[in-house]
Amino acid sequence: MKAPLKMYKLKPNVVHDFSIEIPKCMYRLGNIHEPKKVDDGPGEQVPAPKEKLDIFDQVKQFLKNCPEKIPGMAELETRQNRILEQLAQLKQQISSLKSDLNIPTTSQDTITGCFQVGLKKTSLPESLVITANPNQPPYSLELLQLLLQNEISLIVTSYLHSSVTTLPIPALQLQKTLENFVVSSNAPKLKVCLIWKMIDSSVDLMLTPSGVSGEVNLLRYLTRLTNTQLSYDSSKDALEIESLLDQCYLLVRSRTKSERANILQLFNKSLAKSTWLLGRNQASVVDVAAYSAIKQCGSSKELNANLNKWFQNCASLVNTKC
Amino acid sequence: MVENQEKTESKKALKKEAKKAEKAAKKAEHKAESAQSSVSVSSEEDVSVGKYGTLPLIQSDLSAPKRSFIYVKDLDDSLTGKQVWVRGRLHTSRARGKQCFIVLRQKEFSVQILINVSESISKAMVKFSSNISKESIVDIEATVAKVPSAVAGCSQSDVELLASQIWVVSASVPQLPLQIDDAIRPENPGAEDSLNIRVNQDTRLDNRILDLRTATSQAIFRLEAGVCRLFRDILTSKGFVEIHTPKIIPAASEGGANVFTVSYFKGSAYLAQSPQLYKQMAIAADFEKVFTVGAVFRAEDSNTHRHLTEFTGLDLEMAFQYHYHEVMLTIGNLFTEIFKGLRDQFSKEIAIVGQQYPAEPFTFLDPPLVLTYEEGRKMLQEVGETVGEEEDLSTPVEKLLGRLVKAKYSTDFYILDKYPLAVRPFYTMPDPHNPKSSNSYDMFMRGEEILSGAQRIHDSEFLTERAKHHGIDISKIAAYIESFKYGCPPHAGGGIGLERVVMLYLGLDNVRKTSMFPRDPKRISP
Repeated sequence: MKAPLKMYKLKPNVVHDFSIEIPKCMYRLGNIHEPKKVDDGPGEQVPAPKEKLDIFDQVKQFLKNCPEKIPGMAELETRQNRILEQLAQLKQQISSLKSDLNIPTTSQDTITGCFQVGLKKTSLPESLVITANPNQPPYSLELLQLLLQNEISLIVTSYLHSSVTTLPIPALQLQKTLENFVVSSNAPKLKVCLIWKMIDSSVDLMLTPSGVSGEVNLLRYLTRLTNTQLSYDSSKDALEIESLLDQCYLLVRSRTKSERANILQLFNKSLAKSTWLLGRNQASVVDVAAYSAIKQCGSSKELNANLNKWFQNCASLVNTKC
Repeated sequence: MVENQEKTESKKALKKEAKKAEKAAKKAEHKAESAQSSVSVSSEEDVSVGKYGTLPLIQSDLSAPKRSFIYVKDLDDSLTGKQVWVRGRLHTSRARGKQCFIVLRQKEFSVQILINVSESISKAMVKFSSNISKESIVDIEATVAKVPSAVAGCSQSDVELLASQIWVVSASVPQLPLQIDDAIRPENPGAEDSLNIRVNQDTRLDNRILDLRTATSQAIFRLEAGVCRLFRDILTSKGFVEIHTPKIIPAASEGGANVFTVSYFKGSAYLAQSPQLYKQMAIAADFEKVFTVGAVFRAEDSNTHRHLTEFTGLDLEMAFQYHYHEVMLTIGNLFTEIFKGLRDQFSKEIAIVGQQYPAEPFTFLDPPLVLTYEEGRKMLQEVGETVGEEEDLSTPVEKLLGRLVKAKYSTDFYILDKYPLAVRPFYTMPDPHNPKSSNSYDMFMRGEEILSGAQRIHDSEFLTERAKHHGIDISKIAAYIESFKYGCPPHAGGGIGLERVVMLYLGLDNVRKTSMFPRDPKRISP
């Protein structure tokens, strides 16, 4: 009946596609939405502590990159050599003095021991404050204390926060183990203040301005900050370690048995036939995290024979020491 | 013309007069009518004579009726249908036609009462009830009834009372200097829709008895009593002995703080500003562990939120074996025990106070956190606040440190140990290894100092030497030094202000809120 209404055609009133003359008197800003260039991408993601730690590498690289000899370099070199010579002389003098005075030389080990670790852990604070949920005790601390005893001695003092009325027995046991630990005298000491508090996550490390939340992240923080047998930044299987640490976190959060079984399967694969996870013959940070996670969710009965052997190994390590 | 005008005026006047007369007549008529009607009401309808009115003055007459009363806090739906007697304060009343609603208050509890015109209750009774002035004390006989929906604004929200008798025991003046409703209005600056009428602190203090009737004040002072009781109980169980020290003293016991002078017969005496000397004398007299609770007077002209000229001091002194930390940790654990007791036994009171004055719940650690002065200085240094090695902490710096400690250790209570010797009184024992440091400690709650204590010098010769070093006239403190001449065990101690502890525990902003009748430089009444 009715033909469709014809409409007016409207001219476009804004034209977009013509070239604009950009004034040159202003700074040009790169397009921030553009994908970053590949070569400086990974560099950004390298964790900050590592850069600080590898200062020697940096210096070496810097020296390598220097195209020609820097003026004054030779002079500096000779001066350094001179100082080193003087230091050696001084050392000799002191040792001769010592032998004259009959002072035992054992203390020398302490100093070098301190020096080795102390050098690398410049950013490690004197004391750490860790708040932990008493329902999810961080068992990793007892293993950590043990494994690091020759490198860093963790002196734990624990407090009960007002949000907790009574401490559950497992937490109390852990507290006793941690506090009764006999620290070896020659390792640098790190005071750990363990506060049992009702918190959302299992463990919080209190740092200013922002803390580290979660037990696994606490372990990551500690291993990065220090250079000990547990540090893994430079090891080849760093990625695998990271993923296994994540699994430890998931294990604690898991609700069903099948969920747990899947994760435990992964651990089993990693353990293979060796004494420690990742097929190593020395304990790693993954062992610490996994031990704590399994103990926390009480799934030690769900372990197969192979894993059970490993778990008992960890547990006996803690028990024999105390 | 003039005459005309006059005429009209007089005419007007006449008219006016006539109108007036008419009005008056009408008024009279109305009055008579109303009087008649009221008479008729009372004669015809007042079926509730003898069920309401003002009770004669209670003089403990033996012929008084024997009634058993029930507490408002015990009223709940298990009593539905039962007839009860309650005595309470009339909080508000509002009449609506043939009904009158009354909110009856008893301490922090309240209940709604309904008076309804019925065959046994007359209109006159309802009118009488609605005219009782606020804050009067009334006796009410009523039946407990369950309500379909919760009564808003009453603590007993699941029941109401249907009154059958109402008697005024003690009437209040109708004009109140402050409204209780205004005095209990919560302080939450966030909510804009709420009424913004507040009662001034001074108005509150001028009319302290009315202010004390609020649920918040009731809770505060019950908690204060709790602190005092816990202090006594815990120390007694630890083998302490309570002593009472004189408040009129011959000379200033502690150097520095100002004392009040009172005339004492022909001479003058002072009001005790600390029981310290007497505590120490009790130690020298082999009481081993002593504490005292009593008034302490400070003539400091400081008008701050935390200073009073008279307050209740809880002081303790204890002999120890070899290290003053034995005493420091005893005091620290005492505090933890008190805080635990308050948390477990006074949660209701804390919640009531929190409703009006919202504050973060008080947090503490068990065992208490002990930091050294050095560590405290280092923490301050990290945020750019430099404190000298032999410098005292100023009040803002103390607060800042309190915030830092709270952020790091999540505790509102901590002990700062090893203060520099230079900022402590002459009787403080110096540190054996560091001549700049001393065996003294301060304790903090929410970043404010509550206790200052130390190991005291118990050797009279050394004490004389220290006093000379501080330039103190030896003759004035001879009695103090004398008391250590005959041998005295090593001892340490400290004292707290009860009001300040309660204020800080509850996170209140003014110590006057926790002192029942506060005394400050500008107020000695009521």
